Amino acid sequence: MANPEPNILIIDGNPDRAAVVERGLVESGWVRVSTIGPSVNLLARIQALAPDVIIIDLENPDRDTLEQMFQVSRVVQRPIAMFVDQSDSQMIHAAIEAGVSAYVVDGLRQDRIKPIVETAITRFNAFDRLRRERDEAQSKLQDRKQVEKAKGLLMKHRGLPEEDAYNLMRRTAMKQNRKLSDIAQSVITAFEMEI
Amino acid sequence: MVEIVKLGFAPLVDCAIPVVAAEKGFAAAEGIDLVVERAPSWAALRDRLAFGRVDGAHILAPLALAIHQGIAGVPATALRVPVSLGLGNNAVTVSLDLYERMVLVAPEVMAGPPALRARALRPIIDADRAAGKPLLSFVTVFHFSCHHYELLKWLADGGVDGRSEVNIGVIAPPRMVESLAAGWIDGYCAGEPWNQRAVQRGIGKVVVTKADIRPDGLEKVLGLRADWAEEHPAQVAALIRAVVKAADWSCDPANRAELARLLAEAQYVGLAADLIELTLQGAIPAPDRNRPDRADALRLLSEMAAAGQLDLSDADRIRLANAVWRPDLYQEAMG
Repeated sequence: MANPEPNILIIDGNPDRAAVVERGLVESGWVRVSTIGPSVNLLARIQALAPDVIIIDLENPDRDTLEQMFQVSRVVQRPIAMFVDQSDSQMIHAAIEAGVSAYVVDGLRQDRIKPIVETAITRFNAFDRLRRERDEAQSKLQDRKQVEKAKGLLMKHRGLPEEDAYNLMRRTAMKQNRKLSDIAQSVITAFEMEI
Repeated sequence: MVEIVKLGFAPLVDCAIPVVAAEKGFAAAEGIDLVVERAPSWAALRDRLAFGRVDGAHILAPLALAIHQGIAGVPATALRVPVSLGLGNNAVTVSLDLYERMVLVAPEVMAGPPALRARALRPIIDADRAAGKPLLSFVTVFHFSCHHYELLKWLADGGVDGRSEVNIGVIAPPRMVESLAAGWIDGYCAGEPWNQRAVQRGIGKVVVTKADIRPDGLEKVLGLRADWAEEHPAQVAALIRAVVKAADWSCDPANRAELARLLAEAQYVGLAADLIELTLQGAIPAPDRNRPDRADALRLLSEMAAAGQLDLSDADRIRLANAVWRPDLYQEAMG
């Protein structure tokens, strides 16, 4: 290769995930990393960037464009393999599980590609975990807000002390085998209907 | 015990058959629990099939042959095609700009049969080359697709070599119209509604339809993983019967409005029901076309060879067609 540093391109419709993957690659020592989102002139943009490795999310409809480019077109002269090494089925399954695929220009050494794809897989998984945790945290916060609101309504309209209002909802939840936040929602709905 | 069978599909109107088999109870009536799973691209569908995420798929007929032969970018995965599913309703759309040039340089050709209209490209390509301009760019939906071969054939019938005199790339159909509008491409070959979209928006003209290029040419099939099919012969037979009944139901004009509403749902095609209803006509083959015909496979293999995608002797082509196309499985299931 003329340049010792592989030129890595990340194509992802999700800019947050692209940023997470890019940071992971840069922090691991690859410096030539760029990202692009959905684009109508994908071919021209890829040609201009001339990447050695393309990391793209598995669900991206632009994958069909890459397939063709790398398999048969005159646009990219060098043939390209999908994933790293088709015999490395463990890595392929890890990549599919993580939702990522990689296209690699032929000629780039296997041992140089593998850590790049591994980093991408790790980052895709980390992004997924972060998103799940964030969703859970948001839903917990939402639940807590509901309980607080229901407690306030019981205190105001039924004249209950704070602790009794809370205990009433908690006992009801246990008795009905429902979540505390569900009971809180029922309380809120009931008061809203009275108003 | 009810067996779960997983089929992948791409979000196009002709995915109707597997969707109807699952949604209208035809699979359940045959004792199978059919789960259909949408794939966002042909590459994704191919991956799911090759890496065992699904048992089978509603797939481009030439892609099934390419996967089996190991030339589709994934390790060779033996497939079985027990049912033919769709004929496609493709057309070639060109930009208004290119259309006007074609009419200007060859009005008599453009007034003639659509199958020969690519002749109007000849003087344009020659003039562009003399002026040092870049090649005309066309796109199709995938390189192992009938769209690709239909475009090549239409160009060839007009005396244009699609492999050297124009660029042929691939763009996901939903992006084709905007790519044409932005001038990134000069034309494309795609199924509906992507041609009508460009016409309605006034940015493109349909110059030829599949009916003029290759009438009755097979486009989509049911492709099953051979290892799964061999382990589950009863499910394969049940699936074939369910799919054929679903094809029968889907073809019935009385069911067209309901089918359009079903396909309009986000997990299937996800476009407006009225647009889908307009494009359903002709997209679903009559049930007498469901039996796999090895002549289709051989014709596809010769088109793949002509496109430079495959290099096999005649004997090997016949072997390949016989291994993948399985009218015997259809016969056994249908009795």
